[in-house]
Amino acid sequence: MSSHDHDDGHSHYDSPLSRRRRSEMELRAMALEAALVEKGLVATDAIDEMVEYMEQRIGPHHGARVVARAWTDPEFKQRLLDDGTAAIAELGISGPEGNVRVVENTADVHNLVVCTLCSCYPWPLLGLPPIWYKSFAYRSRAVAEPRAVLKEFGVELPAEVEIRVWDSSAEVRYLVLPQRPSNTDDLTDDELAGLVTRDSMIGTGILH
Amino acid sequence: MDGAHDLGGMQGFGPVRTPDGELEFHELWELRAQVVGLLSGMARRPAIEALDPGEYLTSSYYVRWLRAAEQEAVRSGRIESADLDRWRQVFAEDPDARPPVASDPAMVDFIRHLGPHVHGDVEAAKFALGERVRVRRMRPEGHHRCPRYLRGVVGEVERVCGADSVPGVRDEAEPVYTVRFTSDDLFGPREDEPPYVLLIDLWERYLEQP
Repeated sequence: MSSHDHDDGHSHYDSPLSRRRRSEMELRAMALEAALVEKGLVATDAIDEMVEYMEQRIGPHHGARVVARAWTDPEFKQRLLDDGTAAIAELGISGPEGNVRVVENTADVHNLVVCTLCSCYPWPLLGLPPIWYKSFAYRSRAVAEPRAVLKEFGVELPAEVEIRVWDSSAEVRYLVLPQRPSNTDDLTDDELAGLVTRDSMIGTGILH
Repeated sequence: MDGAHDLGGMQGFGPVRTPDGELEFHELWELRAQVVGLLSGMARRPAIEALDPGEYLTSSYYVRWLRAAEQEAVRSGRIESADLDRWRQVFAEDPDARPPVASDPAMVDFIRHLGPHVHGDVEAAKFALGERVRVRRMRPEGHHRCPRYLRGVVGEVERVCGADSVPGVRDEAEPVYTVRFTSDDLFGPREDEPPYVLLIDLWERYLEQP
């Protein structure tokens, strides 16, 4: 989604489509920014800074780095499970929506994260949530029929595995520590991080 | 308030996976509108939850942010709806028109140093680890974070998260607990969905002794 240029502060309104004909919602978004800037209620460079942060500086590669480190460093893993926020800060990862608790998948337990009231998500570790995470279908169903939802993601777990659904509706953000795939003993941390998918850190995916 | 945003447990929204479901956003204005709403303070959770339920349920994620910010900006008297109409007209008529530009270096610096939310220490917790608690039945007027599907259900305290300011209430902090529920207690036993566990963080005032 971020292939467009960031050559000036207004590139977010400059899609080829919008040059031909701006949509009604785009016109209203531009009008809202213009009116708020005009009244001194928000500044252009602050908007640009935050957009750049959300679009470019956060993302699931940070979460993957944390997971890979936890797989190869048992002491780090323990610190991560004890105090997620402090442990990810060791790797230089911090920021808004980053008060983190990490929950571990094992052979007996599978964790799944949702926010039923809005779309709370651990931004510094995973970036912006995908559209399905914000959908009414996921928000309504994950707490009521997690196995049916997981099946739609191609995840079918043995009946004896305990599913734990985390409705992250307060100020803690949850990250799933997925199980390490087998036959990965000789991989480096970077190579391991490359195996970790975003969905495996939400709980809608497992790693093979 | 118990609004249309409180979706946990509802039925009828169809499958989760959709063809464009992997995207973060569709159009370039969307993320920018969310940021404008966030930074101006116009699109906070209470404003989004105050949208008309019909509008909430028929609008996309970013349209909800945009509509909430518009409504809050006008409702609070910060801008007039005539300002929005005037600017909309400018951009509709002139494809080269852009919003005015302003600079706030202190705010840029503030954004660069934003940190995580921090919980305070709990001085006196009403409930202990492992204690059984029931989610109160309530009809809250203002902003809150207590989903409807939990009301009246008994769970068990799994963790004390820390002290945190109460949503919708100014200058009051109290303990927040992670509470563990069983699917049987929440939705009753079902053949097609084997038992599972649900955990959620709840402010102390949402809980009572069963």
